[in-house]
Amino acid sequence: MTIEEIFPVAQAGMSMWWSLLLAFLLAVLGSVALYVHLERKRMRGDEPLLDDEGKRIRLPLTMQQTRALWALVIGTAAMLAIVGVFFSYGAENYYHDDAMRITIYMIALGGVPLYLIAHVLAGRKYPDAEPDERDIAVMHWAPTVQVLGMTFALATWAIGLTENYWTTGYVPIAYPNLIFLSTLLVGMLSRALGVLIGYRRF
Amino acid sequence: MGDTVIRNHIRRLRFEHGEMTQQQLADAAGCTRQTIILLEQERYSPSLALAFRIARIFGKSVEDVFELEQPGSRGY
Repeated sequence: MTIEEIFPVAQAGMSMWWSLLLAFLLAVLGSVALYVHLERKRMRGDEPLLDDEGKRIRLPLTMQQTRALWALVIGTAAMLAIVGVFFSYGAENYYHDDAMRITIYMIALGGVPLYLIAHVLAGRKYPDAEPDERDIAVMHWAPTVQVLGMTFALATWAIGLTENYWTTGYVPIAYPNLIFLSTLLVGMLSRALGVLIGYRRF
Repeated sequence: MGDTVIRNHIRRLRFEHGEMTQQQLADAAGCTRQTIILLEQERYSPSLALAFRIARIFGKSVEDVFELEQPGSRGY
């Protein structure tokens, strides 16, 4: 059995290593989703929350959940914008096109003040909110997902670059920049995801 | 051992205390309304400190508000 038969995406011009990496990525994401589902079932049960009249209860968002949602929205938008810039300028131009590089930096760094504004506005919705024991438990647990996400991003870069530049024996200097920016974004996104998953877990 | 459930009478006690809202109880107990909802639905086991605070708000002992239930004692 060939690799193309195992992973059909390989037929679309992807190398064996990229196909394996994609399969690995999907396997890890699938495992995380399964783990979260089983943990939630174990700790909270899988029946819907119902009131005395049998109506489904919608849980009000906590301050941390609102902030995490904003972080996820802003982080995802920044990530998509950066991918969009790469597609419109062409990835190969990153080395010598200053405008492209500056645009990417501006998107990545511009997300920080935007997130801070959302952070403050979300806090104003809950003027007297103090974190309770569940909030604290979630905050302590969220970095688990963050570490997993960042490790995963770094492993993906390391495997991808090593395999792509194996024959040349060196990696172009632009990549450390991209590794830093992507790890920063993945860190922000996976922490927000950790918070949101945490509230379903605890 | 791991399947023990903590039952509680928070919802009934809230109504007996002047129809106290979930938000009022949450503010008095120092937790979020989400935590009170999950407690009432018995989907969350509180810490000892939170259990004592809630019991004190209702002027009851912890055992009057919370009870430990072993699996099988309610027919499952």
